[in-house]
Amino acid sequence: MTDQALTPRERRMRRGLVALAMLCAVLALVVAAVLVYWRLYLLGPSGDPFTRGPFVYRLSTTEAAFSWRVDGDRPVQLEAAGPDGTVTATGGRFTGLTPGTRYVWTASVGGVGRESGSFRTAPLDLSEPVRFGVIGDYGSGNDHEWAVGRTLAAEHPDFLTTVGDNSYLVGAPQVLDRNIFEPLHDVMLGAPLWATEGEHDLIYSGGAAVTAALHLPGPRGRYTVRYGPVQLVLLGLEAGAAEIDFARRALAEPGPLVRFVVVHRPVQPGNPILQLLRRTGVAAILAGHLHRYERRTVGGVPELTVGTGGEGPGSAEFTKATPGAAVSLLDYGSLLVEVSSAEIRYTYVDERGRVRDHWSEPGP
Amino acid sequence: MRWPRVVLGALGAIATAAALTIQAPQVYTFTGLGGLIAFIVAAGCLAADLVPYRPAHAAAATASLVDAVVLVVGGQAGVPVIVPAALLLLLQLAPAASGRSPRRRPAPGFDA
Repeated sequence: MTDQALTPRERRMRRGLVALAMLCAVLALVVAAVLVYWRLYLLGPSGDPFTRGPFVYRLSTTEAAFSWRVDGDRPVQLEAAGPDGTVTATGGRFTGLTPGTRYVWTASVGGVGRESGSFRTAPLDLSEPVRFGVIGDYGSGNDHEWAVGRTLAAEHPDFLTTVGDNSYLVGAPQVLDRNIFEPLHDVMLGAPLWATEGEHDLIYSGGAAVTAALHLPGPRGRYTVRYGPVQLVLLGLEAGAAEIDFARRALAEPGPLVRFVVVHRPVQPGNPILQLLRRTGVAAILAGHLHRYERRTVGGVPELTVGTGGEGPGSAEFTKATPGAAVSLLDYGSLLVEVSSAEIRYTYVDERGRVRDHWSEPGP
Repeated sequence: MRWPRVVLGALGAIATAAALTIQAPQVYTFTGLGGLIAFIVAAGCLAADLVPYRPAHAAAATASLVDAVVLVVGGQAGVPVIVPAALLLLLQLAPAASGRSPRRRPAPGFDA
């Protein structure tokens, strides 16, 4: 059959079919163009492969160790840029670093940089100040905790210490991302979180879940840690007889220029540990439990209570100011401690970034 | 030869000339635009070759449709654009060439 065999009506129909086919082709091209544009320029980047971290959990004068969780257990390459070039981590650990030096690290998955941060290795002395943040009673995953986490991240502290109750209502593994790792994600990119543990952490498996997740050096929030010339002695829930023995050994270690004791429940006047702390020249006790910020002196030792990280005061009737406290606030916030050879400065910053208390004592 | 096939042949010739005279990636503008137009015209050409059905022409039109896509994206994908450009031209000549081959006599008992 040829064209000549078609009737005029069939020819018209064929012309219409040709036009329809070309119109369909135009529509197909438009759809393809929209899809390509959407894929290239409107869709966001592929999702974050990390389900936790990466976060630094150990930081010394020459080493830094990171931990993370990643979708599909894919290999992660961790590299850090420093003054001497690029350092590649092995098993999440950087070694051979220069003391007192800031390194910018990047974690890559599948050859693409997926997370970055920076940390400063511990200095050998106090020729440059050491800055660290203190929070407590924070792990509730609410807006206040996130706000406190943001202000802390903006301060770029060298490390963080917490005075316990890291996760509410319990320190169960299933809620730690919501209560710790997500709200504090930004600050933990560069500052290890050295936590002691409170009732809410210990009520679940004796605090083992929090200890494991944060890679803490000791169980039940009781251990010592050094950041160059600064020593933290973390006691756990309270300063009882066993904790005093532990503190006695820890505070006898030679080397640190400045020492702090971290404990969940504030040390009360008359506690026998106070004599030890005075004798060993502990700069301050950092405590929590009471959902207030308080500054006071107990038995000749400065004590700063920072139970304001996010959980909130609840009823004011149960969150009463301690008699004799120089400062007592109900505002959410964190404490920033700056240790230099000249002085130790304490600055309490609320969740809106306002300085609410400022105090200093002579340096070592 | 119907007008869609003539247009396709012209597009193939222009794209071939462009591929020979203009360097990549500047040539991709011409081949990409030519490929888009060729895709639309090839769709019409295919429809025309289906009524009445002419197998060789329809096959050439179908191949031209695919070739037009290659002409659009091939340069970015690393395919030398001269290949789909020249192929587009040849595909329009192929049905005419096949039409000149001696016709087979119809089998006895069938109408011509």
